[in-house]
Amino acid sequence: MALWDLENSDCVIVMGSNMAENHPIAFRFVVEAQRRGATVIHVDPRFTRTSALADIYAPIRSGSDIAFLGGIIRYILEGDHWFKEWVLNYTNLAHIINEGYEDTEDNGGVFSGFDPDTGSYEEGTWQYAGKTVPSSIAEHRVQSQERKAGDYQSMSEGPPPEDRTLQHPRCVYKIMRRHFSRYTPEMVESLTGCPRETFLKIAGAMVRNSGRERTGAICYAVGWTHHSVGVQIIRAASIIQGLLGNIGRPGGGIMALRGHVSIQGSTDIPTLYNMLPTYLPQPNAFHDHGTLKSYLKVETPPTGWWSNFPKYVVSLLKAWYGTSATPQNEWGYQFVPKLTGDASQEPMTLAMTNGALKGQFILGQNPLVGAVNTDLVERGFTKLDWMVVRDFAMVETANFWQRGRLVQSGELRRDQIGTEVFFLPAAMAGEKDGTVTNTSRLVQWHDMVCEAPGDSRSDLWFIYHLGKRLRALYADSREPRDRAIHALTWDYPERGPRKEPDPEAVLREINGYTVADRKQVAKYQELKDDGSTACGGWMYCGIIPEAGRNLARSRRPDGPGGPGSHLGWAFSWPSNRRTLYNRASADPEGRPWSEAKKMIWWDDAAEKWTGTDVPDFVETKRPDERPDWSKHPHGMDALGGHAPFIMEADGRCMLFVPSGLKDGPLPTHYEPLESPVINPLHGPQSNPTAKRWPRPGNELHAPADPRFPYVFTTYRLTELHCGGIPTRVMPHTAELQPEAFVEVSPELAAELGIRHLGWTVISTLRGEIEVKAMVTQRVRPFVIDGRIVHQIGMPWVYGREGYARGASANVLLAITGDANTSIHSTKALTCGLRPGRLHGSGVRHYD
Amino acid sequence: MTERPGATALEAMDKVLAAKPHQDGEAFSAATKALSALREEVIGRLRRDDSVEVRKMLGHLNAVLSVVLGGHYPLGQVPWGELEKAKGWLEEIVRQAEGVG
Repeated sequence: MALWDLENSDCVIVMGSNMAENHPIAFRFVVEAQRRGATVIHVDPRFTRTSALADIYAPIRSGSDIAFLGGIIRYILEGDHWFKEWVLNYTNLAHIINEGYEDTEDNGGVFSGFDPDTGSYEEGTWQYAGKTVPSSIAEHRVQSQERKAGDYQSMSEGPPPEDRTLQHPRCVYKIMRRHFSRYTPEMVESLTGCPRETFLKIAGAMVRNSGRERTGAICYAVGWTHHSVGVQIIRAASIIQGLLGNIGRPGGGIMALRGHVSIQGSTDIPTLYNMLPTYLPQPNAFHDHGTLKSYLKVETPPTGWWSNFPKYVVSLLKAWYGTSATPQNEWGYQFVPKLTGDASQEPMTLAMTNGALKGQFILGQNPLVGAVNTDLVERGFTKLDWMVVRDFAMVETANFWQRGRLVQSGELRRDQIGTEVFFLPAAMAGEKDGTVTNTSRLVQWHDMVCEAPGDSRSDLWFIYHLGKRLRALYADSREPRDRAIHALTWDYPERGPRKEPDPEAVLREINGYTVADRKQVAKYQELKDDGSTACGGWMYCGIIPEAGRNLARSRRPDGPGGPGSHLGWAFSWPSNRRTLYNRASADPEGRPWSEAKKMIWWDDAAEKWTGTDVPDFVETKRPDERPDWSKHPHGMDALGGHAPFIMEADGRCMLFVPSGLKDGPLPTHYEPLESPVINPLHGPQSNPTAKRWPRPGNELHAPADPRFPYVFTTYRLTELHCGGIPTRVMPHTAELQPEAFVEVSPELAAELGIRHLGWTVISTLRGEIEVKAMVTQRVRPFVIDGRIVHQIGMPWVYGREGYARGASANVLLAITGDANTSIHSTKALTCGLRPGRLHGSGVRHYD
Repeated sequence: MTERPGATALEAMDKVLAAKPHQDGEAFSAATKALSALREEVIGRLRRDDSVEVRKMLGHLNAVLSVVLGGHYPLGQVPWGELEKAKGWLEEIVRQAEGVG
């Protein structure tokens, strides 16, 4: 959904985010919704400025989100509050699951298919009966080995079996009712610490604001993702919105609040290891990806929109390798590196400490503040031969060899560190042209305000000129592995004496063009798999649909009385569409569910879908069109005119996920990897598939370890931007939050003898830090299962550089990973706390 | 690291394949460290003698290291079959590098 669509919501829940402080621009639309009568709810462990502006604030213990959301799901199901027509037609609620499926409730806390030796799942029993469902996401495999190719074809042989009476014991409805049956308001209170009355007030508000006439939205940020069950927390929200009919409709949806910098952009045109641009899977050496033909065969879902996958892959290869991409060499497919394992930041940090990495480029990051277990990261840096850091001010990462914690504590001497560090000055945002893509998939162009001083250059300049030098260095190489460097198209126009590459030329290439005449491709529907089109990222197609027309530059808001979709404001991928799956804003016959909530509808006279947004559907596909199963239809022919979720293989919203998740088809509550609470629901204490990498210096605390009795969480501050450096080095912003602090409740402070602004020491098995206490009622003790559990919190944005200094909270954290994304857990761990200061070899406060 | 990093690397690979660890990465860590040390030695040799053979050896060794990292940090199941093969490659490399027969 678009940010501004939030003002059309009748109920907005903010959870896993301090939206008012960390996304203040987005929050203005929540405030506007509230002004129009919406109920605003904040669910969070801390009382923040978001809580202060909300109509209802619900405190919950960090890491108990699924219990809270599961309680809402149960409330909806048991109270029969779900939006019947929408759900039965647009979701898989009535689908029947494979006979072998066993739920966590009946299987000792794990789903069927779990292998305790490997800690991973085989998803065969999660499938629709008689079907094998392809996943719609990249790098989705639970297993690293292929099944027999071709089993996805079952999706083109007929629709998945359903029981619309919802009586079948293995239909999704029955499975979900059993699965969430124990998430009662009493259990929610006992597990999360949120008073039962508050929980019920929130659940009631959500269901009241759903149906034909009303919609609700859920906003989240990394307060949800940075958990060992991060993906499943978001899944729980998806189930709620799926049951309430709050997807693809005005004011309905799940708002992923992305970072102020181009966080969304860095997953679209990814810095992620496992994806090619715009969510195409990176080839894997251990999959059936040896040739382009086999890669396309096993990765292309036969039904739904993703059946166009080959067009996007071949066009991408053509954009990258130009004339070197030919039918004879599989369009250059063999130039693309193949994965062997998880090469995300966390495992590669561990590999670095083992000496496997020779060097590292660090751009737009400051791992010694922003990465978890910073002492371990620092030890890894000492194993590198070289490190390149680009930033516009000295950062903790770049001078670790000089002023790092290990040097200060005496663990290492400078002369023991052989890493050669190249610190290069980078241009700031206003010193370069380009795009930023963040919340709502909105791509916005910005122009350079002034030239960067001295030798400072943009990241684009650096990467481009590094590429040119590498090409020159490898020009005479005959090694097969260097052919990719030879083949790369690397010919962006340069501007001015600094030879700054033209960022708009890069965006033109990402948009795509026809190879023969180099004309811009206007839309991704025009891409081909025959080498006649080139496209650097199919979802961005249309951003520069013709020469000289850069829609990311567009700044035309709708006027008063206009539709309010603001299609003239920048570009939102794909196709400048603001709300994904917006076919769901109309009923199965193609009529708006209500006048108040209309967005897209079928125009019978014009024989096409129309409305206030760009339809997310085949424009001319009639609502009464149905697949002809006798012809084994493929692609969009296999989806009826009443199937809005076109990226899924059967066009239905997946309340139950048969493929693609590594930790189960439904969210279930597990305790965080470290918790003072024993899981009251299941035998497994924590997510059995979460990535744990125990080693000296990266040990995890045992459940309820008395040495580490307190829940610890981390967060940002509105006054300090990103990892802190842009604002910690500026006196006027640094003075707003001059030093690090830990928030402690008055109750815990009294118990431990901690006074406001007094020193404290926080400890974990990974490290110890000292920091001053902020004794405040913003954090509070929780009553969990009848006993008091204290929680403390600390901003993670401090370090030893700049004017505003202090201990890095990430010293305390362990390197772990969510099973699906490998993202670290920063929001719920345990720690010890005492008044006083560090002694011995500990690293003291940065005075 | 011992004076014969190749032998140490082989020994570490043997331990990985014998223990087949899934959660405990100690054996994999030891293998990675040994392979990295062996790689340092091969790089040193390459700098002294930039021959096709040594360059090829380095390429193969990096491939072995990639498979070991894929086993230590798998996407899904640990690729034991590939690790067995990688050990075979490593034996060949060590034979060339150290004359271990």
